[in-house]
Amino acid sequence: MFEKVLIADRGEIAVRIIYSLKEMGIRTVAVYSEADRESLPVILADEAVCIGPADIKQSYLNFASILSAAHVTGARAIHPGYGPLAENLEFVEACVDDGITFIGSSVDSMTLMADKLAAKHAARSCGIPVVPGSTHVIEGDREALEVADELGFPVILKAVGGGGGRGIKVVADRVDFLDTFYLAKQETKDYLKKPGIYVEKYLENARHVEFQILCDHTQHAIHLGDRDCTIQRRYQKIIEESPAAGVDDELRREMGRAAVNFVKSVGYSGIGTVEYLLMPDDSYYFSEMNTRIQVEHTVTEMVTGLDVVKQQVLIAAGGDLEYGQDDIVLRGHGIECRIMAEDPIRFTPSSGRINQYIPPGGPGVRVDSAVFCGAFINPYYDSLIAKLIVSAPDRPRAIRRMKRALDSFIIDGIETSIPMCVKIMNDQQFMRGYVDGSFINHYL
Amino acid sequence: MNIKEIKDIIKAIEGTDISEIDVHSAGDRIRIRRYLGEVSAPEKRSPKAKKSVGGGGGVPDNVELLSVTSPLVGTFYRSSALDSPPFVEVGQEVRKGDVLCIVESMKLMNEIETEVDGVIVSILVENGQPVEYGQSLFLLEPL
Repeated sequence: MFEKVLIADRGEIAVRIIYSLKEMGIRTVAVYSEADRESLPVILADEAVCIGPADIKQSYLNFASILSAAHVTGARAIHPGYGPLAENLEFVEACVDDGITFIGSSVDSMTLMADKLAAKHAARSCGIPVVPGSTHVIEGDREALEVADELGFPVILKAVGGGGGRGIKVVADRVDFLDTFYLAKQETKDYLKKPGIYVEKYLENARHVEFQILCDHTQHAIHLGDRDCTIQRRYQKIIEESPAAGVDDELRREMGRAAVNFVKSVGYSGIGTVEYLLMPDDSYYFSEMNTRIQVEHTVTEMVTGLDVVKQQVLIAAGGDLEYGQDDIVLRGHGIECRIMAEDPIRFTPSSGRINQYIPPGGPGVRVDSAVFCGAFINPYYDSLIAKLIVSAPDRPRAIRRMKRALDSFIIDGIETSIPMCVKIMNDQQFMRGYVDGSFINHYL
Repeated sequence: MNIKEIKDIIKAIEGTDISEIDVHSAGDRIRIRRYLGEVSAPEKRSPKAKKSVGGGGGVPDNVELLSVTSPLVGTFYRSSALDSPPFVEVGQEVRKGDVLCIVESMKLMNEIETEVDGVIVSILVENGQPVEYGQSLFLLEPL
């Protein structure tokens, strides 16, 4: 087992990782930019190293700084959290070259899943239905339009090197297709390492249902149930639930089995999430796979009782998974609301000093956050400041509990998305169960 | 941690401007806080003498001195090689562009130069000590 692990991320996930490492008796090293000098991960970690100025590129994305910090502290493993380094192949290779264990999946697995087309191909080979679309990168506009016509509008243009909501453009009308195609091509050249786009059918009324996977080096793989992450704004998740409401056990078992078979077929190890699109007629399609720990792992932890970070570290240290599929039981229903520091009308980030912070508590309530009274919320970094997760014996009670928890969550000094979460919790369609997330558009 | 060890810690911080110290030792942990002069509310946490890389504390607060800080994370060396003389000593006059030390990072030896003419007043870090970004390495009296 590792003696010392360096956490190469910031904010709430850095705190989360430190908690599990401490329980495992592993010494912790936090790295921080000058803007995060007074932050909670720095306070909680055994050691802390300043790695650069506030600018992300010179600090949290600075490989040399972070690897150097691992050297000077003697940390033999790095946990990348879910930040920019978590799926950065160059960084993983730099760790490998340096003899430092990257707590995550292997370079090969990450390379495969980072190429969204290759991942779909691998899923199809495994017998999993995939979202209908082109099987290779499309260069020419003529070919692209032909594919789009064959699929039928609306279609979606996706970046091969994208994922996580980046590089996605929906084209509803044929007349807009060529313009959007050129724009998308240009953007992937500008912003993404792997240029190239492909065309897919845009599945309306689809729910985003994903399965948490754990896989060790002996190819023992299990899933920890499903999460519904349909409620999003601009491809960023706002609300996550586990299990997905209205999905019967047989379908859930089938989708879970398919996900497990998929990761085994590609020789995966570590943690990961297989994402599906689930249609109202219960047909499902593989969309992509994430190879990092995710923001919403928490809601799975609430309903399964597992510590997913611990399992991830155990696997990275060469250990065997501690659980079999039969050990995984989802009890009750869990919901997470992501609390963002943002202006409720314009959704622009809100920064400032928190002068009152009272998180909710009580039965079935969990708050993951790096925020505290007196903390300064920086405009440099992403605006997620807290995750509020509840669980209860069933979905209606979980919603009531979430409303209660949101009402008791006092954050003063900045604007937050708490009021918007309250509106969603009170929405009739949300409470009934939704087939897609478009109903929240009138809150946005 | 026994009472003698605690008293030793208190003695060690007497006479310094350390107002809060957090010590972890073999599973024990103690935090000692003292009020130096006026207490202002809300009290901001002063930088702790935590077991961080470098741990350089007790720097005299003198606004006329210039601090040369490390631009990267690495290991501080006073000379270019084991058997070479140090680049600078206390009291030495240096000119803009002179190399003061090396900070080694990922096997690369980075020469740290002074940006101003001055006299070395203080060398704050020891040879072979790990340093972090922004850590003060030297105090210079500008000429």
